[in-house]
Amino acid sequence: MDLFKLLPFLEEEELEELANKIINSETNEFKGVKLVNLLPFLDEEFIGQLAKFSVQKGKSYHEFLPFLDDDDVDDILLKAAVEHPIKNEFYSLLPFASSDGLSKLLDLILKKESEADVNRIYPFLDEDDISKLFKIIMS
Amino acid sequence: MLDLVGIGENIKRLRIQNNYSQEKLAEILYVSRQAVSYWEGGKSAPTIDNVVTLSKLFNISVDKLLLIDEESNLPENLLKNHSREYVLMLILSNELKFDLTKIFIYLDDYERMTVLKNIKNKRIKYDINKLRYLLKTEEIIFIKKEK
Repeated sequence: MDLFKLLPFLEEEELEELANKIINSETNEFKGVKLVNLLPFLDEEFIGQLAKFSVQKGKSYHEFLPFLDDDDVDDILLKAAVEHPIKNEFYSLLPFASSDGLSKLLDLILKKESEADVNRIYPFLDEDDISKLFKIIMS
Repeated sequence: MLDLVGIGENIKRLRIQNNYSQEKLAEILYVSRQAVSYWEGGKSAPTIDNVVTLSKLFNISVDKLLLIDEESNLPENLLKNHSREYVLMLILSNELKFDLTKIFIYLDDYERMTVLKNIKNKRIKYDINKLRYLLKTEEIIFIKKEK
């Protein structure tokens, strides 16, 4: 039976069980189903847990981004900003973060607690933060 | 979030007003001509240092250069100074700084329906009754229709 075609009909628990099987497999798939195929059917809170687990394990979290809640994106963003902002994947978080999250990120950079590249971040900030940043730079 | 397309058009307009070619501007800023072309096309943003240099070169404030001055964000100027995608994004992310009714009439059919759909599914936090007098018959039917 084609598991892929069954996905829309699976119960929440079955989907979560399948997601765990995929995450724990060496090939990152189960019977041809990849995590990215499951994401549209999973609960937002569960996707948040999966994303944070992937970050902890140093795995890619790129595919989760469109399905994550703003708060989860902000959590990942602020943690990654301090720990590994050099990775390109960090910057793919920016369009999905909330303006509050981005504002906190700017504060971390200004306090030199993050080495994230402010040149790549400023276009995503809200207008008040952009004005604040340029006032600091030009003072 | 900045409107890179609007800023690109702004940089191009200011460059032409000041009689600079893309090559000359690139030379002054120590960047490649392609970099200037990318900024003008809204494909990338100048670095912070280059924004500061451009504002001095064109004798314009950073806020005006980056289209974050209040005047360019007035209802009557918003669509004139920014790309339509940016304006729609402002509405969808609840960041419009004035009432939606002031700009709704300037949106095209597709944009209006996108806004209405997102008010209906509560992504846009707005009382739809305030827009009712501006709506077309099919739009009223759409918002009344159950999910």
